[in-house]
Amino acid sequence: MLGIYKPGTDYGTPERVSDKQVSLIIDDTEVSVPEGTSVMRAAEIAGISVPRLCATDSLEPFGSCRLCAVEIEGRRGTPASCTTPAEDGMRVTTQNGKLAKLRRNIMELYISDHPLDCLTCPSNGNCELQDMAGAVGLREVRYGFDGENHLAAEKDSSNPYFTFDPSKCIVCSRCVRACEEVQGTFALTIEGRGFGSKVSAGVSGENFLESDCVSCGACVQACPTATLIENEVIKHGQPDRAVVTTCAYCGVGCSFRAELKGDTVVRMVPDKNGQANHGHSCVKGRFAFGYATHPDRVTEPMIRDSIHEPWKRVSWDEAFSFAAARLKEIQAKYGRNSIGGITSSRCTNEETYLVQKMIRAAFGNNNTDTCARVCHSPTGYGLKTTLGESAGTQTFDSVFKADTILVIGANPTDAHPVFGSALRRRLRQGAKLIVADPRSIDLLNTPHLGEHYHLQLRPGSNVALINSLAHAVLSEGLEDQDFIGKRTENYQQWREFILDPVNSPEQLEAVTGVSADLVRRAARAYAGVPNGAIYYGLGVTEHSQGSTTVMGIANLALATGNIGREGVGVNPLRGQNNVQGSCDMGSFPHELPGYQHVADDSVRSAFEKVWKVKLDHEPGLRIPNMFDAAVHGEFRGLYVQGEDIAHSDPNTQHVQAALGAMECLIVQDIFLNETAKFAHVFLPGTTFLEKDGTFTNAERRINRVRKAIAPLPGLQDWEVTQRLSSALGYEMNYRHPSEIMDEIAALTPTFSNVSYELLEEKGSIQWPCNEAHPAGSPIMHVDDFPIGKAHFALTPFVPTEERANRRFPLLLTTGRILSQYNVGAQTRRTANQVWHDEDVLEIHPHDAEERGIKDGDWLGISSRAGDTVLRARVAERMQPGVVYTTFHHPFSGANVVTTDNSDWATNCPEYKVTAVQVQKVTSLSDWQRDHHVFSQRQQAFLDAAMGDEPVARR
Amino acid sequence: MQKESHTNLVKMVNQIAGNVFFKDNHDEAIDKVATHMRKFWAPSMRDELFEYEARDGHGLSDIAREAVRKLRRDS
Ligand code: SF4
Ligand code: SF4
Ligand code: SF4
Ligand code: FES
Repeated sequence: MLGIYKPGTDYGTPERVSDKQVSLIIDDTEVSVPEGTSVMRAAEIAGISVPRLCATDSLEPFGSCRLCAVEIEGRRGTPASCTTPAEDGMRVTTQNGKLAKLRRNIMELYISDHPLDCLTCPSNGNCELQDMAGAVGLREVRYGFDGENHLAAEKDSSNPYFTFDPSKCIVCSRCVRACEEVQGTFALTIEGRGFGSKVSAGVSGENFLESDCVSCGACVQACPTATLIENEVIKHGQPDRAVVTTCAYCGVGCSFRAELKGDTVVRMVPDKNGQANHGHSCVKGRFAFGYATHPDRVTEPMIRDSIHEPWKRVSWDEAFSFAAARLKEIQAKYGRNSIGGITSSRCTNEETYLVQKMIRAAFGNNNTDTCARVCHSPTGYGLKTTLGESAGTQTFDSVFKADTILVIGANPTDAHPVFGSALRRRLRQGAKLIVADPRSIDLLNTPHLGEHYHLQLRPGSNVALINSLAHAVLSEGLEDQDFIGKRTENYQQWREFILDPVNSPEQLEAVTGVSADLVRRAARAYAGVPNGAIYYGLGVTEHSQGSTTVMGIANLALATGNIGREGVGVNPLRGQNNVQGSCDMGSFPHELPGYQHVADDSVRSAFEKVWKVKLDHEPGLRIPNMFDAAVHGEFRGLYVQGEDIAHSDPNTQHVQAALGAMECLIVQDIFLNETAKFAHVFLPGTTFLEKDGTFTNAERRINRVRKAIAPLPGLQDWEVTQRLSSALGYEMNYRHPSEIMDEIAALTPTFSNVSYELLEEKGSIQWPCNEAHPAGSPIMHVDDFPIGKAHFALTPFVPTEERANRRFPLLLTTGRILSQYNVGAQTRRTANQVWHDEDVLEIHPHDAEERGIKDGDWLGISSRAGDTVLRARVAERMQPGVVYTTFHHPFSGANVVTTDNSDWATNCPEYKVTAVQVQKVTSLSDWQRDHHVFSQRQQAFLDAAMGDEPVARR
Repeated sequence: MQKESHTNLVKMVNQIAGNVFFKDNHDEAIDKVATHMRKFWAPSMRDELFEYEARDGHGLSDIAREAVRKLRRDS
């Protein structure tokens, strides 16, 4: 139908992989398919579409609608083609008079219980029921519509993003199966039997919002009718074009079709061909894109002399020359090293590369860092030291070959939801699970979970736990001697270290709080299977010994030979969309792109040749060092792209003091964020929908980001940096991000084969992609390590200085939840607020009772760094002595409380351990009151600049 | 009260020393701490610590102090 965009072929049932092929004849066409393939799929491959309603290729076949009936020579009746496997020599007929009549009768029954409002239905033109009625040639319904039917059933519009209209339901159960098989949440059931059966969310009487539903949208995507449908489609109608791009939220890097009607994004549909997500997504990527056109968007450049003055809207040229002049003045006054910049893990590789290039070439120093400093810098250090490369070793799909999965300090169902769903699927298939976490995470509630262990350690004892696991492996002879002998070095020294009784589970029990017996059983579960895989997150890195734990994890994998093939490996789950990429692109002050040290003369000279400028051979300042230098008066100018350090970084009051000391703070962002309230220059940024580029996900997969709508401020972020650089006197003249990627490839040995052409051809590429691996490297370290042999690093446990005492008896740990993303700048500006509109403090009932705290009470939380006030949630999933909160809302001030303790090797902040006291209070903290006044004033400065004009254009 | 500018640096270098020291690898640990500072610290941070170590040095652990001295000698 004209004007309706239709996605690719639906093969009806999922792909099967087999070494054996079978050949069959379908309506005179011969076709050969892997054994186990359904007749329906074989037919589709042969170009013959069999009518269907309950089958779709993202779900296992179910065989309920019978519309797909076929005839098979030598068999009685009309078997369902979706549930019948193709066999060698089969002869199948998909079309004849008898089948046509059968299908028409079935359709007639469906349609007689279906409202005939096709012309006004939001699915009109994109409805499988409508298509099938056409396909089977249904012209009239003999039963009439007066009999018993469901046409008056009430709509459920409790979910902010989709509506459930049961009057249109054909009870095909696709939604129920999507929720189970694809998402793994099991929120939906078919209630009742026969004619009375209906889809129900949660237990009887609950609506979607009250149920366990996590709003992933898999059911909406699977629904063949308008029963489950996006509200935006109801509002705007069916989309008419699509652009394939990559989600800008988490490190899973899901591929999406941004489906548009004109210039309006109607919906985001996860792409079936997406190599990271295979057609699945979470609530953020699929639904929470409305921030892109939120009225809070600032789309014009602004400047001001002082942060105590209103903003002034100016032209791009004026903004660039103002910023450049200020930066130059500062350098003239305080020296070349008195300015720096921060790249963003949310921006594209090309944008990040340009920012660090501008700093090194135009600022003339190496004062570049990235927000990965505060999340995964220990991964870079730890994995480079042990395995020789600062990256995870696997693909996401590798999890499907893992026999035991060890998850340390990560909460995948909330923070990496699509990978969380894959993990749950593997757990349902029987893999064993070990979770090392102070909290009971949702993964432990996986329906149909088998053998599992929860090592509920005390915050701050990761290294002790990892060492005791390694001790158990070695003392029980579970190591892989062959692998160790061939592929590693420094084993003897490490072995001696680990086998020292101080590292035994029995001795460390007192430190970790995990029983020695449980540690030993978990060690056997990990080391005693063919494939053990480790996944870890910020619960590992954000500690004073973050880097040590990463090395300990690598040691454990090396000792058990769990590196270099599918099903095993060391997998850092990256927080933001482009954490991997921002690290790869040379954001760190000591490394040029590709993790090449600035002190290496040959590396530097290669860059100097292409960049035509002399480069500094000494490392620059890291973010916390910049703040310290600012407070002490040596650092005066900062360019921040797409990051909100005033909100996300620890010890907020220290950060605010540093930002307040700036003589020129340039913020490039889509909103006037917390940091921008301290800025002198605001350069409007663009969302992922408005630009071209690439993101690199947690599996080193480089995915294309494609422009779907025009950039609201007129320039894409890479163009802004390029013009600022030129204003500073260092000319940049790229015409397209692909040219930037060509330069990256020329200077980065692990990227040398990467190009936009290759990305177009392959869909995505996992680096290293070079002469040795021309098509990329799904699994790393298969034959050797970049450093030849992997290195066992010694990992002595050094307790953090941040300890609980009488004054601060509880340990605070911080984290994330599913519906919000990082500082919340995007998700707070969407309907995701329904699920989490404020940060709360979770506290164990025991600690709550001791302090007379009830759910909903206002709590004052104080640490050595500062105080804030949050509402209480009494929660069993905490252990006594540990409290937890999120930092998605700026006003909560979670980071006012966190300290500036950090990882010994990388200065990654210790967000996961802060000693605190908690007590009931009746008023806000001083910081909250001051912050409120400050924010209101800054908002007034913005409003003054805007006058009456609406800010966002759409 | 504003912390003095070397306070954090002393804390950082002590932390590095504490993490690379193991049993009797005293000399190796000094080397590792010095190398770490050379590889990852900006020169201004090193200079400040050199100056502090020469002036006062209070609060530096033995290995940290030795490493600072070694780095100054070598640079
Ligand atoms: S809601 Fe949609 S997918 Fe679910 S049973 Fe009804 S028609 Fe099928
Ligand atoms: S949105 Fe996702 S979690 Fe919710 S019912 Fe549908 S499939 Fe299940
Ligand atoms: S899992 Fe991550 S990448 Fe995928 S849709 Fe959700 S937020 Fe986006
Ligand atoms: S499509 Fe085969 S029974 Fe429904």
